[in-house]
Amino acid sequence: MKELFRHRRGLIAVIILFFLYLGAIFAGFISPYHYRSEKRILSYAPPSKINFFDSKGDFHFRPFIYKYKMSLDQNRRRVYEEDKSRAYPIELFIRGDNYKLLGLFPADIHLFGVAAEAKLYLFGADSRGRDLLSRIIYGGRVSLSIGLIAVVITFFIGLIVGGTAGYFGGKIDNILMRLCEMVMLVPGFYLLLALRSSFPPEIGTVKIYFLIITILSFIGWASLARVIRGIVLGLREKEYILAARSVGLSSFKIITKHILPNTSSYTIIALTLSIPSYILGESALSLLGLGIQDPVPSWGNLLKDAMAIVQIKLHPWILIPGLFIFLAVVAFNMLGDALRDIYDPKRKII
Amino acid sequence: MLIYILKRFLIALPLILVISLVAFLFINLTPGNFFNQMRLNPQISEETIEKYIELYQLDKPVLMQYFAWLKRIIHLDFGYSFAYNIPVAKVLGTRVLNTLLLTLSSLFFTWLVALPLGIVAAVKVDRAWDRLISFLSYVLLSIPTFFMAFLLLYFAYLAGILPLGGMVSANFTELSLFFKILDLFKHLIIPTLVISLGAIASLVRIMRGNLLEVLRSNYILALRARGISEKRVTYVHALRSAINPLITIFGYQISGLLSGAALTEIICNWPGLGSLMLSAVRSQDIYLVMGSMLVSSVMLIGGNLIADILLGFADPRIRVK
Amino acid sequence: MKSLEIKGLNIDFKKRNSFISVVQGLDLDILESEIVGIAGESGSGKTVSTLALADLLPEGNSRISYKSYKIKSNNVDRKQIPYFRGRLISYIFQDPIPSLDPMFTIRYQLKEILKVGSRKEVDDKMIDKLLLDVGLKDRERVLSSYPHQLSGGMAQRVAIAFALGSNSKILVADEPTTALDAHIKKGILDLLKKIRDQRGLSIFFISHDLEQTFYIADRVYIFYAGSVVEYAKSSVIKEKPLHPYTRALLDCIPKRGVDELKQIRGKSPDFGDLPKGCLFYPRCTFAMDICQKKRPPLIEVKKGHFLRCFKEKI
Repeated sequence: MKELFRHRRGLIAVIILFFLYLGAIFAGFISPYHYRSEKRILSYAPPSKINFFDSKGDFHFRPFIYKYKMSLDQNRRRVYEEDKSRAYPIELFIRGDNYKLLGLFPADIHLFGVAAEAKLYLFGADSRGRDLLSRIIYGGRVSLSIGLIAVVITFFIGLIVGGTAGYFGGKIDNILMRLCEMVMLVPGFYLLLALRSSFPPEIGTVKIYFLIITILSFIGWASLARVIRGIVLGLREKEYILAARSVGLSSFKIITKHILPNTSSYTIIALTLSIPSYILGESALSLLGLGIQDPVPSWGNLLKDAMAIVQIKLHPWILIPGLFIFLAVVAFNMLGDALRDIYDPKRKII
Repeated sequence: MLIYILKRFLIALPLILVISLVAFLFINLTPGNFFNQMRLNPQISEETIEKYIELYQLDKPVLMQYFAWLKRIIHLDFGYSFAYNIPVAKVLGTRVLNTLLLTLSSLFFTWLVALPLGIVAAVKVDRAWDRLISFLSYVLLSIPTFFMAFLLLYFAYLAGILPLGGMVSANFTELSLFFKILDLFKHLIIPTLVISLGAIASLVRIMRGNLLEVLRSNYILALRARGISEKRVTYVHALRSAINPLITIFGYQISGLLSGAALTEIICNWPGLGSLMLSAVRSQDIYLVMGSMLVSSVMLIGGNLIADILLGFADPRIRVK
Repeated sequence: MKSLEIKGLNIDFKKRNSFISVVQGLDLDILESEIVGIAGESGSGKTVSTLALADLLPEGNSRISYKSYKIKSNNVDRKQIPYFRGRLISYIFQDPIPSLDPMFTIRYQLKEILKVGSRKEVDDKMIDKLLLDVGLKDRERVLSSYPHQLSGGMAQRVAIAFALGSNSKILVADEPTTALDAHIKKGILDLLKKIRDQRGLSIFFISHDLEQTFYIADRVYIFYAGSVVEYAKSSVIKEKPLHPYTRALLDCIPKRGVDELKQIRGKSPDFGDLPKGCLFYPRCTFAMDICQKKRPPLIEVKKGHFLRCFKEKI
């Protein structure tokens, strides 16, 4: 653990993930608005300008924003101007939308925000005038959690299958590995879609959440099982296993007490490195409208608007959720690499 | 050698069968199927629906449906697409070619760029070029393909020189052969780039890693000790060994690119197997979904088979017993 | 006439961010047509010192310096050393098959080497003669084979052919028989003797097997922890060894009829943390006080017999 903090990349990764997950857990508190909170008249409002100097040129210590005035230009496109008649300072611990802290405790205090008449759009607004930053923070709840849960399930399945195959070898190994090969022979994306297609398009957020987790695990366990099987095979021939066998320990005990603990480092690395593909899988599904549906945000479905390229030109900020996906993926990749460097110093290749 | 290939082939066949069975069962898991939506459509009479059900034995137990489907597949009848109203095979045909085109162009581009970069990074390890290449690879690896697609499309939109998606322009049929090819090429650029950049990143890392590892081998030291020039040691001997594992990767990349291509196709509006799969899923068009999945699996297996065969040729340790 | 003479060789290896000294102040020389045995434990610096002679240690991770380096009494310019490879000094290694490129045939690799040695065109007669010289019978088959198709003994002979192919004057044989089956070992040793006789080569024979070393070598150097502790004619080392370490090594050789297996107590020093005095002090049965404080110099105690020890008579 200590070494992780000493490893520069690992440290950066941990910090990034820490903040991402912190945001996800305390989403209600950290985001200025609830994810449903709309203001249709401010559809696609650009990011609020943070001002320190007012129109008279005075400096204010506390940054403030102006309200947006919406008007239509000749092409009936929306134009937003700052209404400089009144300044709204950004305040800390301000009262705002209701939410449930940690899902349990009703609360309405937010880390920062502005008075109710103005809207603080740090990352701009979406088509319904919802604050993108808030939606991104809430979106992290889905995008970051699905990956973790799916990986845990994958881990158990992979462990059982891979461990059994590696340890017993022979026919069992053969059959199980053929099984893995079959699953791996269908291209991931197609399998993802095919499995999704066996359920109706709209089935409610909670159901879809667990469905996605199931589908992702179904796709991912095979490669993990192979990795584990490889490790177990390698370990099986090691002297201390032969020693345990010769003393008469039961297979089960050998597996649990000797083999599994020694696979742990490799599996953790393999798991960490597979989380990004799960995050991407969920994002892709949601992006295509087959995953988490509006109004519940996930980083994937927040990018749906970007599918029409013209929207990106008019409102480039809708791409920001993609940056967050990128950040999460990079962080997990760096973490996996750092762990790999630590546990296997022979691999001094990057 | 031939036995080796045949063995590979024979393993693949039953695998495909089992995949198709499992997929079929899965898809038929849900009680509500396509017809529920069709029934809501007032233009389609109840009789037409009855006819479909009878024709495809959709009221019989799932297993019977599967075998019926299987029998038809052997006769290369992929069934009927409910959404498109034409046989699945017809729909698949052109789409598969389009996807192949995209995949092959990405494969070509990826290897063209990645190999030299990987070699440079290894030969100049830990120096400026290596650091730059490795850093870029790291970043590119982590960018989600769809994000990359959005970004590239956005920049293309700003620059205004490349077409934004689709495979051909509206006036395609009127163009001469030369311009037809040019038009196709222009449309290929963005999707190819999107798919390739990620693949290049991972291939560069692998090439670099392989070459570095080979350069640490015993025989490389021995070759140097024999007075063979550093250039020859690196580019004739080390490279030869380093490329070996890449050959298998080549085949597996075909399958990887296939999978990655699907999402890119959808975003860039490239009319390939991926976008077909999506619309099939959206409309719950069973036979189309099955057909697409099957074809994509076959392509993947084909890629793996090519990889195995190539490896058999390249590595004397396998080729010459 | 001395083929090679090096004095004061120091080799440092990089570990983390500092350098540790692996070989300190080594003096080594060899005559034409002489076989010099280099014996010692693993990690004593045998391989590393000989690799340094042709600058074959990994760049960046190692540092070499020496007081003087002469080839046939001519001083050597540091920059010239890589040129020696193959043309002046050749190597054969412990595991013959991994020392050959698995992707190319023997013929290809042999031709490549012959081009290093001579500028002229390489013809098949030369190749055949070379393989004949190393005692290979089925030459056509060997030439068309890939390394993995050869047996250990054949591969080592091929490696020796490679070493001879570039017309070098000095051969470093680093544990050439260690990985081979027992009945093959003698054949290789005899081959080495033969090529020394026929071509007047100087051969460094590195081994941790003293018996083989005595069989083949004219002079024997005993290495310990990066320096030479004793060297003399082979028969002298065998019958009248002076250094405690040498004596201990000889004691360890299993003898017929003797049931007990001996070993030297203690373990070799950690290179990152070398003691101030004699490096063998902690394990020496004849240790004296001075041994702990000062490192003994290498002195010629009798003609041709050099010893690094404070105790002259045991």
